[in-house]
Amino acid sequence: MSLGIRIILFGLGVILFGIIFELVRRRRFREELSIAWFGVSLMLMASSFADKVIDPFARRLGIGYPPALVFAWIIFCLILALLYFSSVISDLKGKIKELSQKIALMELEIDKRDSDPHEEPEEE
Amino acid sequence: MKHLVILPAFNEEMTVGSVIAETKQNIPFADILVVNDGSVDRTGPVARTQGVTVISHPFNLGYGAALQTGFRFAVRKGYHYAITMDADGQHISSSAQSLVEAMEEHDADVVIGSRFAGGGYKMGTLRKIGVMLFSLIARAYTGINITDPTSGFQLIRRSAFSYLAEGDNYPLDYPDVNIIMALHKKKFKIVEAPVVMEENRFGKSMHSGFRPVLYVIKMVLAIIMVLVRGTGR
Repeated sequence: MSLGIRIILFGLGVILFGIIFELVRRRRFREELSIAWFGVSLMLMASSFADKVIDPFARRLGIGYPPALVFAWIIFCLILALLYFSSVISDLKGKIKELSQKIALMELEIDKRDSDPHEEPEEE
Repeated sequence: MKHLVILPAFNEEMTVGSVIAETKQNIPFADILVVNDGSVDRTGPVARTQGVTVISHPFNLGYGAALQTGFRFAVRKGYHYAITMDADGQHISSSAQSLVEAMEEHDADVVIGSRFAGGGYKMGTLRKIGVMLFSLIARAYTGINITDPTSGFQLIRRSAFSYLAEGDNYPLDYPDVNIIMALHKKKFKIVEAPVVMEENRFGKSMHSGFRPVLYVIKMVLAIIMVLVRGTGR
């Protein structure tokens, strides 16, 4: 791995780490969700030092240009992070649906009580 | 002076009834609120039969979020003190008197019930190491000897729980040494008092599998954020 690529990878890792850290500090990003991105940035930084592992491994896999393995590894890490965030979004979507339904049912109950205050509330 | 006991409960139908009955007996001067955190068992109905106030989350939000719901209720209803306890029977409500006395004696804002201060509580080696590590961090930052920073058995004055009830001032999952540090940073006075705790009767624990590792990472990050954030919200 050339020194240029090494510096670029490490620099990108540091920048990503700094951005995530600042977002979490400003409470723009929840701590528990930031861990996956901190992991990606640390992987980027570690990749710039990992040529002793990456170069022979790339050669064994028949990859002529070892940094390509680094990029493949980074893409894999990003896919893992995206999968994690997709699962979080799916979970949130389900919860928003459930909240919306509960609010709609509660509004109906409130409307009923407003129109007839003596009516007994229905059991769930 | 109005006191509120906050019992966050997630799938605690086996214990919540007896915990409420014991709490009524041992802390007769307090009202009781059960925050049913999206339980899928009969926790809510069982609590309701005991005649206490029950707030039910539509789904599980986490222990910290359930407590924060309790703090928000306490703020709204004008309570002066909040006593937080677990609904799994781990916290022995008769110990609450020790918290009240410590608050009066030290004019504190937060009294943390310590299972270790009185001695006699046993736990696994890994957990013990974790608690010791967080105790050291708490002591280094606050200068106070807090032997049980993970304890959820606490007495909190209105000024402090009003702060914790706001926005993101309380974590969704487990409040720990990070909250003690945040409260200290906001100049709230924190002391510790001995309480009696039982090992979880039904052996449920969040400390299993990969979770402890993730928990430590999250806690380290939370501690760093307390250190680097300003004293504002």
